[in-house]
Amino acid sequence: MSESGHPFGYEFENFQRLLDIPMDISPYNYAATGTGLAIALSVVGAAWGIFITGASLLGGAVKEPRIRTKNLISVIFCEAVAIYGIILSIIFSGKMEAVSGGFTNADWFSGFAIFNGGLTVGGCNLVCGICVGIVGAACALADAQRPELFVKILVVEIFGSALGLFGVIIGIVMTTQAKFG
Amino acid sequence: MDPTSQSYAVFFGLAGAASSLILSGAGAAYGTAKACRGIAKISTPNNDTQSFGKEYVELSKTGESNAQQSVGYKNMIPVVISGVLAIYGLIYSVIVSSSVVSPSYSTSQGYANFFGGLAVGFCCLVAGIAVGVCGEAGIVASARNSKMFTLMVLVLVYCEALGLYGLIFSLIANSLAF
Repeated sequence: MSESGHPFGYEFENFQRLLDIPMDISPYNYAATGTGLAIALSVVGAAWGIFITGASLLGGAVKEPRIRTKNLISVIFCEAVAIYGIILSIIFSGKMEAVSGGFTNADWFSGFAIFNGGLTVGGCNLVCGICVGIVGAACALADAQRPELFVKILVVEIFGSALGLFGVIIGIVMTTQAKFG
Repeated sequence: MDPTSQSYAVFFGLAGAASSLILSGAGAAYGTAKACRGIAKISTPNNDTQSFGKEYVELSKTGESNAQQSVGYKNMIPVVISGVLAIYGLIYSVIVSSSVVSPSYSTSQGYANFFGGLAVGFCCLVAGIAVGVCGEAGIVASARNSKMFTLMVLVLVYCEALGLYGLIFSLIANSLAF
């Protein structure tokens, strides 16, 4: 044991002690931050996308009311991003349990994994929501001009919504082995 | 995990996986959205829309055949290439996430995966920006003149190679870490 109490030895003591700073924060803090980031950033992305799409949809439907019902699907694609975030954050918060005694390496792993998994889910859903919002706005206006363009720009929107799905998959892959206690 | 190993290696490794996916996703999102603006630009003839349509007025001057051209699926190529950039980030995330759970994950591997993730992320971010700008310009140009399509594809392949360079570096760094 070195004099700071950490069970690892040092070669370059003054510099390597900086890297003990991640270990001075409780793994519950990391896990809770990751859970919060998952839901918060996902909802920010969904909200951003919905207002971008909704503004164009509302403006275009003034002149062309037939686009109203079909183009709600763009709004639903953005909302799905928020639903990914809330599902993942419920899954992550279910992994936190009380630990008796000190933290083991498995607890540190769980804390780091949930933090980075939540960051991944939230960040990918943020960019996906903005992308789907911009594409949905273009889809609404193009549909107002020529009805056959709706399906073609919807294909682009499906490519955009795949980004959020990648984040969800990797978030689940990172945290499968995360378990406290 | 080995109780004598430095367990903050996992933090750096997974942070690399997270940043590779988020940043490459941001590049892919930019490329997809910009390419969609190009598709909408060539397909709307109405002058009332803000920046859509001004291009189209000039297109219809060249003749009825260009103006009546239907928006085919050839214009989806920038969108597909942006998706491939997101998949580069996904590949690296999957590789790191599956290697982090092994008990012999050392700090050197953690640092290598962290900076590899930043490399993939930033390279695919800027590649996505390049694909978006070139894709939008290429879609508009190939609607005017169908010979510009091959030039657009050539430029997009060069832009995508930038993301691939990041992925190559990170995979080499991942295999060299001890």
